Amino acid sequence: MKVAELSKKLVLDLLSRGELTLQLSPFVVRFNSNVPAIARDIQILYADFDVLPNTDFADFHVELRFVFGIRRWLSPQVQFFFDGRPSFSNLPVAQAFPTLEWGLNWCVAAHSHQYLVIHAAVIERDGVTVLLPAPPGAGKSTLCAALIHRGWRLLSDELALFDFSSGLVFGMARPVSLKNRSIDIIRRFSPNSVLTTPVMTESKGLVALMKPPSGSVMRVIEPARPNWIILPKFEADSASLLVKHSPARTFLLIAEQSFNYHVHGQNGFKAVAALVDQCRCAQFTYSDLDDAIEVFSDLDSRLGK
Amino acid sequence: MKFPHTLSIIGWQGILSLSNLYCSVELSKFEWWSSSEDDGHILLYDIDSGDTHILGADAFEIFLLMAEKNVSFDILVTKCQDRLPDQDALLLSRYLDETLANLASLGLIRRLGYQL
Repeated sequence: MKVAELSKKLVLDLLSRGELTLQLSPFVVRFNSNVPAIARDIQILYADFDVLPNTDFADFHVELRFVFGIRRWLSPQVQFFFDGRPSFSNLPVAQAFPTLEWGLNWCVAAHSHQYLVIHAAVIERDGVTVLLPAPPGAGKSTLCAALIHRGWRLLSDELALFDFSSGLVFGMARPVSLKNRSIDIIRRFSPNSVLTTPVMTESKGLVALMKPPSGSVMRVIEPARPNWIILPKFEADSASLLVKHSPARTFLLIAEQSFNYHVHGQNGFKAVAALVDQCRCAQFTYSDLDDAIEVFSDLDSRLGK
Repeated sequence: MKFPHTLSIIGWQGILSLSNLYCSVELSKFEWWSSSEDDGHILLYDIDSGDTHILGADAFEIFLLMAEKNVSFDILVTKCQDRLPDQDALLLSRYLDETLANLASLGLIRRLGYQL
């Protein structure tokens, strides 16, 4: 059964009982919340994901709860819990859904040491799999959102899960996090995209989450073998430019953008080496999304052999 | 301590070995990787510290030479002369100074604290 088949009331009931269990491949996540607002967002943004029986094993148990006390009525806030333990600062209830998403990202990044977890978007089309690692503000999510509206499959907008033994990357095809100007840019670029109501946050500015394409969610269990690592960089008014990037520098960036490179020690080093060895490395500067899509449609000839 | 007066050391090269100044490198404590595209850089992983370093190919070659027992300065100079044939002796010695100091500052080679 898909989330879309559940009524809003049932989502609310399951959430309030801590029994909403979703298959977010390669993980299973159980949600618990007394915050009604997130039921709507889960129902819309996770519409295509499978609901599992409450008896199934869950990798992560996450909760989002109102903070008790007088504040509950004056200026309501929510708190994220992982395995029953409070994690992170309280945030205004308007940020409930982004808080849940960020919390879930943290759960995966901090606990999934069976993978090398890299802060990167991953997209795939016809066997071309591109890893887009970048520090915040580089334009990774905007580019990723545009590409998945033009036929690319979304594996992940935020966390690439690199499997040590197979060299494949798993993604969870979860909602894409858009910030500030990129929200309107994507709305104009793809008027049919489904976004949450933007909310202002202290740490990231204006934030909205975009529903992942149904086709990507249906194929979420399929990992992909990365063959490109492209460092995206949005630069206002620049022409689209794809240039080779030093594999050694790319190695360092991947290590820096990995949440658990240090945890794996020598194996982490070998994993990044294996990943970079199997990929072509490039830097991509862009400002116009249509141009960017064109470049991505023929990466090999754009970069040269 | 900067590498002391390299030019004068070059004069002593038959006598003074670098092992008087730096511990030799144990390569088993390191792992390294370079791309098949050979972009002139090597990534070096220090198994003891868990640190990852990026080195230029020349610096890496000097690092490897430091693993040899009693490597003499003239071997390093010769190696550098092969790679940088147009450089004069002073520039070469400065280059070696800086490279060894850099390797030491990264913790990849260790000074013995010996001073001339």
